[in-house]
Amino acid sequence: MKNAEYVFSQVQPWEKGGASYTNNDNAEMIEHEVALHHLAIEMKRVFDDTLSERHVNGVPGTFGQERREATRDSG
Amino acid sequence: MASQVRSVRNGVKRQETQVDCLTVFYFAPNVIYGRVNRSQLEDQKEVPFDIFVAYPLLPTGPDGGELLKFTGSDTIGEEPSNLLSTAIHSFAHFSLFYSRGTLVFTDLQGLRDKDGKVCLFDVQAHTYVVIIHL
Repeated sequence: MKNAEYVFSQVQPWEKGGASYTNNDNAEMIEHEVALHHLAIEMKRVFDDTLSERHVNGVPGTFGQERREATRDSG
Repeated sequence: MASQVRSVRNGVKRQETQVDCLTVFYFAPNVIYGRVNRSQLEDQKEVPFDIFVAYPLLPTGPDGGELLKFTGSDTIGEEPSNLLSTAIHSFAHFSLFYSRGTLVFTDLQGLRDKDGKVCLFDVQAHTYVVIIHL
């Protein structure tokens, strides 16, 4: 990704359609913030994987099977 | 028989709709941790801090400027009123469940991108840690 696609600012530029965040010079805290964000990305992946394999009402393994059968029937 | 098939198909369609709704949000990708190289700066005052987090520019739609808040940093936020907010609240619950009660994501907020999906950023979390003194 090109550097130009990032915005560095003290304001909250997501209000202008971009996003960046710098509010202090605490390196450890900011490093934690980045790590937490990456953890959230990974947790979202697990969340999606879980949903794709489960019925939304919580019956394990049924939803993915139904969806595959529906796809096969319609195809 | 036909009505049963139709009922099953409607059920599958409804479930897919629900699951699709659960996948219409994401966390901003390519977030970086950076340190300013001051030797290459022309104006030192433009960058008051050396350490920063940078999020990529988010291509937003016409209503992309409106910040959408789903949960607060120490509050659960308003009761979910639609599938999107329900999905994001579900994700917060999932994080607590999946981490076996040790972590819950909070301050879930974001913007709609040009595809209508909600991009979340600046997430926080609460953790529960047991310290055992031996």
